[in-house]
Amino acid sequence: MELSSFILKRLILMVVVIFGVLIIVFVVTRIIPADPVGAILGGNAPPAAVDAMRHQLGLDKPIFMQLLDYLGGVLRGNFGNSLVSSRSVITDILEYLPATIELAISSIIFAVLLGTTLGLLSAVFRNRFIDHFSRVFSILGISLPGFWLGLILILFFYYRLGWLPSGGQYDMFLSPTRVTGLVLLDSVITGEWNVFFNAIKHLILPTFILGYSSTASIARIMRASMLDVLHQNYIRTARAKGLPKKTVILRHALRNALIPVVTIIGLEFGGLLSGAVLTETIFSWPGLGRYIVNSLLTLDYPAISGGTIFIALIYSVVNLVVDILYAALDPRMRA
Amino acid sequence: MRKPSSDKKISGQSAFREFLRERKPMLDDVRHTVYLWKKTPLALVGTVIICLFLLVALFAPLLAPYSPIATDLSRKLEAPSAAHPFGLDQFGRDVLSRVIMGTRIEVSIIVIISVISIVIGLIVGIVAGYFGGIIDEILMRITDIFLAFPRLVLAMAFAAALRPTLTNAIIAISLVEWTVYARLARAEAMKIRSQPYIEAIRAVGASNIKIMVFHVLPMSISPIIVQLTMRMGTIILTAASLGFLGLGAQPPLPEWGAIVSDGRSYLMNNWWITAFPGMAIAVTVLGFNLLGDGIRDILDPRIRR
Amino acid sequence: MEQQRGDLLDISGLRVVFNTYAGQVKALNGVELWMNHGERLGVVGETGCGKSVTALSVMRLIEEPGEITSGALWFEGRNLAQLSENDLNSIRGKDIAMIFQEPVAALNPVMKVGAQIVENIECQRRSADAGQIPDKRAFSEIMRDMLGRVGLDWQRTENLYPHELSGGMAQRVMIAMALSSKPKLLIADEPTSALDVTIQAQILNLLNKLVRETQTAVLLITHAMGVAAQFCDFIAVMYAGNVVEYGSVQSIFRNPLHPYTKGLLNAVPKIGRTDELQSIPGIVPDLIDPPSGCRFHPRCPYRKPDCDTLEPTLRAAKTEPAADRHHVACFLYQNDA
Repeated sequence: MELSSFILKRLILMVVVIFGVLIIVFVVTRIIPADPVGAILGGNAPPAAVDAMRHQLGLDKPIFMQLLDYLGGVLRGNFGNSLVSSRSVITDILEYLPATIELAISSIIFAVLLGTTLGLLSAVFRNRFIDHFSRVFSILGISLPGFWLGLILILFFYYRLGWLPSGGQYDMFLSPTRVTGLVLLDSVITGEWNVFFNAIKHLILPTFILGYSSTASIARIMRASMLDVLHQNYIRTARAKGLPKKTVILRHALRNALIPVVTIIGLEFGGLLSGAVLTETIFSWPGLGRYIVNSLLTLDYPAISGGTIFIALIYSVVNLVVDILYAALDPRMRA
Repeated sequence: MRKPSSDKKISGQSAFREFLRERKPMLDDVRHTVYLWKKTPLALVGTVIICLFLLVALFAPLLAPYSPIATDLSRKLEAPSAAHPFGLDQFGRDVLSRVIMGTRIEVSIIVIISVISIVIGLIVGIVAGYFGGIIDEILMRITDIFLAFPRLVLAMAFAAALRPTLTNAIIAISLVEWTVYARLARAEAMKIRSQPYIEAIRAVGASNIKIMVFHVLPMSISPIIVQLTMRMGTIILTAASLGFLGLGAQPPLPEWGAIVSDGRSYLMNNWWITAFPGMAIAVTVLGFNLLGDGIRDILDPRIRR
Repeated sequence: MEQQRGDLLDISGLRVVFNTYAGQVKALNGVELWMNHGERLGVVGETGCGKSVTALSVMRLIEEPGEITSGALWFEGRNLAQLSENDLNSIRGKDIAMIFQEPVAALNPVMKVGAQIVENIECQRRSADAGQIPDKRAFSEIMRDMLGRVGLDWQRTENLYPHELSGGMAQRVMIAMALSSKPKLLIADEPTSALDVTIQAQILNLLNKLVRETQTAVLLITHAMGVAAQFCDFIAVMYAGNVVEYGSVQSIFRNPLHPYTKGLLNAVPKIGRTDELQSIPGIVPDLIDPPSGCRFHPRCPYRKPDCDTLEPTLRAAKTEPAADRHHVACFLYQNDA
């Protein structure tokens, strides 16, 4: 299959899946809640106000019409207005999204760099100290609850040692200029270096907490994959050429071993977005995850549906990119 | 005239001998497995942790020194001491007792979620894999849709829509977990469907339902059990996360994630409310992960060799 | 240093074990072999007799859980068994090159084949003229020339990935790669076993032609007596981790001494042969718990009383001319045993 037709097929599949995502979100936010109006107005609102609200939300229409209204709105990028802030949901999302992107990117970079390095060293120095260390580090990474570890690290690095801030994207007294919404990028563009370094400091703990479990998964897959590759015949050929061990590993083994790791990175991104919800809550990070949690707790249905759809959309796109990357990395896939 | 009784006797005897002979490789296999188990110390550690966890859950009311919900505001936020090794929380409740009683909640979470998600997953997966074609296509696209959400986010949405309670959190996580088993069961069903003996059974006139229940289902169980041990840690983490976010078990239920959340506001001066229940989650999840890793390694043909 | 029996390669007393779950597999039990520059030696035996392990040992490519426990591997006066990994890397690929049984699997799936050949040339040059700036263009020229010499069109081949090659093409690429550094010894580990019969002949003819031009010595590992007879000057017959008979092709075929060699030759079909093909009764022994004494004794029709207690050593057969180097490890020919 050609790479382009492969991409086309995956795109069509993605459209189908996204349509399903919209239906699920519709069901979750419009049908399951027994009494959305009650949730908005409180239990003992006067009947007239309830009716007015039902009409305003379109809940008096037949369910099928409601679905059409909703789908039409989503297609036009209109998720309705937040019940809490009465602002347009899409405006809210676009405001919170950059913070999540910044955190997710720094976490995935951290996880990929550290995870592949650990997995590589672990496999090459099998059963030596670095292997044992990396395996313990990894099994803890997938076992420790991130929300708890985050609190413990805040306890040490903020309350006890005072080295790192406890939360937020930057200190409150700073007011960086907003260009793209990505604070690091913005501060570089505008040359506000104090903001840049301040933001870096704020990013350290959340990045570690969000990236740790992905680091662990990547290290585990990388180790297994590397051990597998090191037993392949072509590695023997490379050694028979008289290549130094370093070249055999970095040139011949590494790229082959990375192929399964790339798939895992796509899956890990889902875990990362899940983790972002918790990490952002712990570190008061002004991102989409915290926005969704707050909407869920206040039963702000338009915000919930907007936020969830956005997260699912990001996740699907990332997985598509990873699939394409996978095909590009392995020439056998292109045949 | 035939004498069915003596016929049966002979065939019964030879069948038993046959049975033993057939099972010989399996018995050797079991012996080999035990050997590998002993050679995998981490799997052993995992086994011990999980056994302890289950024992604590079983005898929780006997082990817990105090009531998990009795408040004593005069002694609130007391630091750990000999009488209260894990300290007291903001209502003067004994944290150790809450953690111990919490094991029962965690066990029930694991069991119920596993049962529900495996049942849904098996039905969807076997039907999709067995029939194939358009049915498979539809069921797998539905599975894809569920997989298009990050797990926790979807579970959160379900839990919130159903109103946050422990029961609803369990339902919500099950609605997310089943996809894992559906994919596995489908793969197994597809493998089994094409076996010649299934053709033979169908030729004899067995119905599809009968074949699925008596032939495909039993063969799909073992990979699912392996996967289950590996998922249990994740299930606890997800449930605890929902509890922590306030979308799962509600106070005063001593669910571990919810207790961690309780302690959050007192983190600076009263770390023990947060630290100990979190450690309980960590150790239990670690136990399940070590056990799952061990089982996977032991079943790995490359290591078995 | 002890006198080397062959001026190129002399393997003496080589023992290799593999530590497995089931126990220690004694794969090589004191292998003796030697060859001179430009000679072709065929190592013949059944699957599992240790011929591939012998080949990999020469390259010191035995990996965990296997290890060389004793013995010497003399190569041009240096004992490969005692060289450091660094010193070995200056010999591997340069002086000794190797081709393998499954050529497609032996090539890196994510590298173009041209680049894999260039890498070999570059690696050998770098150790030869250290410090000089490598001339990549020159390496590509050599690669293209080599592809041409193995009968491949470089324009079509150099940018292909291994999965796009047939088995025969991949083996040609392997040969081009192995010979690109003009090695003194080429180890060919069952180079044609995984290929179609017609392709087998093509590859053997090609190999024959190329090594004759360059006077490269070849250590050919094969399970087919016929292939060895056709291609080689000398033959070593292996059984259960030992070389049981060694000598020139003519002397071995005309006058096989070891009972196992006799059995092997009786199992080879020949045109014009009217008697029935004979198989050797019994099975290949378990090398975790090998038979005591001579490892062949349980299957041997000429077994003597001491054969199950004493291990025979490889000794010259006195009746033959010295040029045939005919040696055998069997008490039938050793009166003093």
